Amino acid sequence: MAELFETNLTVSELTSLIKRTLEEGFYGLSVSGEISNFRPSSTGHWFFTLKDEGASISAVMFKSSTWRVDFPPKDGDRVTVTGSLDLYAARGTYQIKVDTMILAGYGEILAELERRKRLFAQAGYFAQERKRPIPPYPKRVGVVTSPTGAALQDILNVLGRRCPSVDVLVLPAVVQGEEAAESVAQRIIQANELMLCDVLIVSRGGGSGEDLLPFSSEAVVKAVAESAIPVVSGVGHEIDTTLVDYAADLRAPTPSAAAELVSHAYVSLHERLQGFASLLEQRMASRLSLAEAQLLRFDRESLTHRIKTVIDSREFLLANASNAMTTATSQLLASDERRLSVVRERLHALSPLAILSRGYTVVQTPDGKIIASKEDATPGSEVALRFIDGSRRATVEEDL
Amino acid sequence: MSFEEDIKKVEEIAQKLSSSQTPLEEAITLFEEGMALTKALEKTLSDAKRTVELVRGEAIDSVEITTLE
Repeated sequence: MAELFETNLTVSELTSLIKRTLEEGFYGLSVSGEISNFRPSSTGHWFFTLKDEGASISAVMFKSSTWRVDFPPKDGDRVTVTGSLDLYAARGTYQIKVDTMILAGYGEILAELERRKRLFAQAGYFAQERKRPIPPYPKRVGVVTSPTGAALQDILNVLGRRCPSVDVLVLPAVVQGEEAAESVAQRIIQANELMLCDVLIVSRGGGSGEDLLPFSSEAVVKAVAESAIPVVSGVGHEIDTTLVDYAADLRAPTPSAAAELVSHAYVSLHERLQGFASLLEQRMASRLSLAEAQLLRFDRESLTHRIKTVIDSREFLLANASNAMTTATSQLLASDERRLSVVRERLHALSPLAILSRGYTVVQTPDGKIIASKEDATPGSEVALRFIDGSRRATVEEDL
Repeated sequence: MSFEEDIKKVEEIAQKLSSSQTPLEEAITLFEEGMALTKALEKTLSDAKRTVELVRGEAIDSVEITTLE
């Protein structure tokens, strides 16, 4: 360094020396202060000033780092940043190049939340088997929140718009300060004593990490875990996580989102009902066109054709049958004639006339009775003798 | 009948209506019943006016419920 006293430096040379000294000597810094003059650029980088009562320093946070910051910084925020010093040679200004940024005190809160989280998990408050299903169509929604807060208005608006038939029961609680934890817990317990609602929203609008702490208290977490009424939590903004979220049966990122989750089935039901109506109409239409198609089969032309087909086939059968009958009759007649001559011959063989022709004679009384025994032929009585060629009268004589 | 039962009923009707086994007469009756149910449900959903109430008092025996809306 001593040689600097005797050397004439250009501005660039001096700046370059300062730059090296600053950048090599000041890195891995952690600095706390208040944000002022916060100017996000259109390219995504953040420019701001970090200050306290006695001093201020320019700060820049590049786009490659800003996305990791979980809150929207604004003037007045007390933050702790990490980073290194950076010198901008063209202007001869130095600034702190920020790598990470958290709200001041947030680190302690996070550590405390982690500690409690382990404790509550051990106590079983987050146990999965404790979770109850959220009723899809609640009739009355209980809301534990501040009666004057924006959270309640958001919830009432969302519910009123999405399911205007659903009643709301507000259980007013203190949501800020020392009494908050006890007040919120007490209202959850009271809701369970009253049993006037079938789902419970436990809610609070956004706030600092400290503001939301009551919703991570054991009193609230325990009351939610032990609630017989299913609980939906909706605390703070999207990025906030409170321990009540772990104990709740359903976690919503915001109060409005909690109301949306609770009314979800009603909204989809609305769409389903419209779907039903058009489905019914569609089904009915196709059922009717089916009936119409069935009717069409009975029009004059096709009927004539079908009846004609039936008649034709019957006529054909009839013609066939009559032909068969004629044949059968003539065949029957011929066979009858044959049978007749056979019978006639057999009759002829049996005929007494045939016997007479062989020389026998039949003895009869005058009135035609056959005399087969000599006892019936009394001597002196008149009989008729029947020959093959005629009869003669005779008188009976004595025995031979 | 409850909300859920009504919804189930409409679903069943839609199911039956899509079957060609259902006689036309019955299909028409079903259709009319289904449409009436759908309209009634729709009406329950959108027409009914809610009540918003506020619980006053913390102890169970001193609770008072007043209407907000």
